[in-house]
Amino acid sequence: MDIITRLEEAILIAVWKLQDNAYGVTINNSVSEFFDKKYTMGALYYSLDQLLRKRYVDKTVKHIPKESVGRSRTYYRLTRKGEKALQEAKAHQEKLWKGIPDLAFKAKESK
Amino acid sequence: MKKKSDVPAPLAVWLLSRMTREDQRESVIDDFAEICMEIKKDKGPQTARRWYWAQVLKSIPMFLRIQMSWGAAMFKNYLTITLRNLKRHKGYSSINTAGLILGFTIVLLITIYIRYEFSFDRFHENADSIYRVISKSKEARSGSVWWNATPGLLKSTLLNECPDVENAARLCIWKSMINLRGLFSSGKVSDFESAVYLVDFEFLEIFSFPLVAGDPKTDLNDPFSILLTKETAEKYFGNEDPVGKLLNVDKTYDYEITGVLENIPVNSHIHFDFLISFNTIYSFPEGREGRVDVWGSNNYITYLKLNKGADPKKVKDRMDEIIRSYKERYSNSFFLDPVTRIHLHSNINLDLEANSDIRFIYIISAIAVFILLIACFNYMNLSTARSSLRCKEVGIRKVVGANRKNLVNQFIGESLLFSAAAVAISVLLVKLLLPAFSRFMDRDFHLSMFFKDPLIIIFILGITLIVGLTAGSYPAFFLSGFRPAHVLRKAFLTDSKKPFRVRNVLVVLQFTISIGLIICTFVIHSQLNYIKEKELGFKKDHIVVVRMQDQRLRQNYEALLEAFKQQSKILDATVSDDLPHAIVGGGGTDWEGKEPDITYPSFYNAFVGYNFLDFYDMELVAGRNFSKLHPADEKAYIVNETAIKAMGIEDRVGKKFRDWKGWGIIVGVVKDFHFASLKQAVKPVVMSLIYKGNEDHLNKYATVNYFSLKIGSENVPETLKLIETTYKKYTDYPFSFTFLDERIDRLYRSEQKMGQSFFMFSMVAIFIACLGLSGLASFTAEQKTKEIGIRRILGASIPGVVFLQIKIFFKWLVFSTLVACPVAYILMNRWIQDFAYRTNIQIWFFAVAPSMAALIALFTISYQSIKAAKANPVDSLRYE
Repeated sequence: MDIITRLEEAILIAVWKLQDNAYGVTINNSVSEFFDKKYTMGALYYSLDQLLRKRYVDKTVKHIPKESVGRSRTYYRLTRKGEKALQEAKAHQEKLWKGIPDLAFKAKESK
Repeated sequence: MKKKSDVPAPLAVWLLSRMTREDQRESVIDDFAEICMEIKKDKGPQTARRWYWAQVLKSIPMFLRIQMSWGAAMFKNYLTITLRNLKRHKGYSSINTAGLILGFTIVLLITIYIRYEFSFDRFHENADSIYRVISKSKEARSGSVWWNATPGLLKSTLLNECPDVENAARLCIWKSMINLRGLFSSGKVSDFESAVYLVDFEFLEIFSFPLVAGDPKTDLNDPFSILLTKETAEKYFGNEDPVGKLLNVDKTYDYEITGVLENIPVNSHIHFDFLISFNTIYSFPEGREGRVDVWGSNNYITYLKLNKGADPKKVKDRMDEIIRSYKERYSNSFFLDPVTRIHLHSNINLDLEANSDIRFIYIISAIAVFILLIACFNYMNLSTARSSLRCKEVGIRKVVGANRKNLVNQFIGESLLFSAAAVAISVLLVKLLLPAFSRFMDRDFHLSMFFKDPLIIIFILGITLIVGLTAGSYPAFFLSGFRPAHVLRKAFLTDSKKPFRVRNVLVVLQFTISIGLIICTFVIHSQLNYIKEKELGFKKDHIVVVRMQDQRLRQNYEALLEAFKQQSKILDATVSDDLPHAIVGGGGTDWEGKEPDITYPSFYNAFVGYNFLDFYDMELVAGRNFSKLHPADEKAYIVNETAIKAMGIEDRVGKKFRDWKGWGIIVGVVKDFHFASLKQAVKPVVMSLIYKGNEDHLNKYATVNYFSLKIGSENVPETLKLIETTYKKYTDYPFSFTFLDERIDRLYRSEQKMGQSFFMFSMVAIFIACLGLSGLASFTAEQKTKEIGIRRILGASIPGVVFLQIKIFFKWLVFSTLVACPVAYILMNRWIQDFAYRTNIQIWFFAVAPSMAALIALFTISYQSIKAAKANPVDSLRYE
């Protein structure tokens, strides 16, 4: 299983959290919120593309009401594989951090 | 009033959609729209729109870079494949492009020629409002005749009474005004000049013949002032400034040079080396007697410049009224002729120069179209034929992932590349051929003239595009539609019926055009030959014509005539003012017993010596020749048969008759002879004696312009030398001579040129068609390699196999003949009607032309067919 990148992880989490409302803008908003930094749509599309290709997410195109400019909107949803990858990522994270005391950082911070 | 949907701008949205991948397009547009709406809510529509645009524009460079790199990669591949194909099928490719290049070259040359012909007299600033006045004289019983001559009084009358005429000028073409031509001398250089015109000073106001030195307003005011062209100035004065210097003419008159004209462009209906002020005319003996500004002397061309927007029809009506008010029974009526039409449309009496013919333009443009069609058909034919060899390539491309659009682009691009290359090469060829072509056509074409001409540029680009697109579209759309599996299984596409049908149509068209052109060449050639060979009614061989230039000698010609006659090598000699093949000028006539309702019809007239009719072997049908035994013959007339018919009464000999010279007796009737081009029917002509004795008779205006000398056929150079030495004893004017038959040939120069160019261009057309045919034949032979192999193994003979292949082409040939013959007949019949004297269109033309086409086709096809038939069947069957 591949190790997913930080951004991909964030996107997967965003898609999972947003449930039925996960599409470009909302995903971008929540990812930007995670990292406290504005992501360009381009960067997001690239990662979404990768995730699609790896089949961590799949997409459905739905027609949307007329008031918006686009005629249809692409919604993303986690696949089984995506959920698994997310859980794995979390496990990796915890494994990575195991046994490292908080003190080391505190010392650094206090310096 | 901004609508809500204007944010974001539709154009930006469209751009964005063009730049995104298809599978992402919808979501990208939606996302950006939403962000945009949010910004609009926060910061207003202006910022939102600006933001959107910024996003779109920012992505353009990246988009282009990606596009280009992929495009370039594919382009390189296409180019490689194209070049490989070119190399592999050298034969096809060279035939294919050679035909196209040849076709383009000829078509471009013809286009240049046609554009040039239409540019005549367009260089005048007011070209569209300049007219010349021409007159039509009503002839009794012989139709009407057009003259490029008007009375001297017309100009001032029109200027005074016709408000639409802004300006007017006369140009003197008085035939017997001998002072206009003569020996010009600057003291250092002297030469005989004939391109001299007497013009009103308004001439330079109407026409744009710019002056290099001098003042157009005053240069031509004073009598004996003269303008000359730059070229002529250099001839007479070298690098010196000629203005203010004197030019002596005929050792009689001194002209003062008041200015220098720019050289006259070739595309002008009038060419001159000198212009003399009109006022000079009143100092000449002919002009002294109040004979210039009268209605009776039709010795001038009147040019008019109308007001902007004036209707020439109204001017003509007004002119008619004016003429009627001055002269109730004026036999001539006047018409306005736009000066820009002269070169292509005018073929009337006393035209200043031999003009071109609009019908020739039509014929030659038709040929250009045919050549272009044939070349394009070839190109299409061969590229479609060849393209079926490329099915495999198409199949593989499709398998690898090319879609239909890619393939269409590839084939059309390839075809455009070829046509652009062909056009580029033809432009180079045109550059090389232009000097020769311009000499052939008697014009001065310059490449620079045409590449400044937007129409020619558009034409070149248009041809490139049209040929490229039409030739490429068929393979592009046809081949790209193949199913890869189907195509890859087979090497050839022999089972497709449709392309074959199209190809047949194209071949039939080519055959049709070729056969048609061969028939037309036959007809034109036989008609021109007919003209050349036709009995003119007078002897024309072994006659040397010496033009008299010395004015004194023209008055006192008898001594020289006697001197010529005494030479044993000169068999006979005579004098005349016009030569028998080109009698110009004439005047109103009257005769005893003329019906009063007939006005005074114009007859042509010529002044001749006593022995003129005998000299030229002209036959008298009634009466007698002029004779020294009858002193009254000084005033006598000899008329031709047509003149008798025009006068209406059979027995005319001994009756009184008058033309512009005065009353006299008709002593003889001469058999009709062709005194003008055979395009015209014979008109009435009157001959009278050159005689100076009688003061009250206007014969005193007769001048001896030509000596005609009959010589033996051997030792011609020596005889000519003798003529020159004899001539030199009597005058110090330069000696020049011509042969009469050459002069007569020159009458038909434009027809000969037309015949030659028609022949040449038809050959090119047929040659291109042959190229195509041979290419196609070799292609069909190649396609049938296997069939031929099997037939041979089963016992077919070589001739049998060859016949099999030729048979197809002959089916087309028969069909083409059926189409070509009637069309060619109708067209040529119309053309030949323009000649008053014409040969019959022979039936055998219609048999020989198709046979010739068949022979040519046989010749081109048989090589390929025999080659295919002779090939060892083992070789042809081995390849699977």
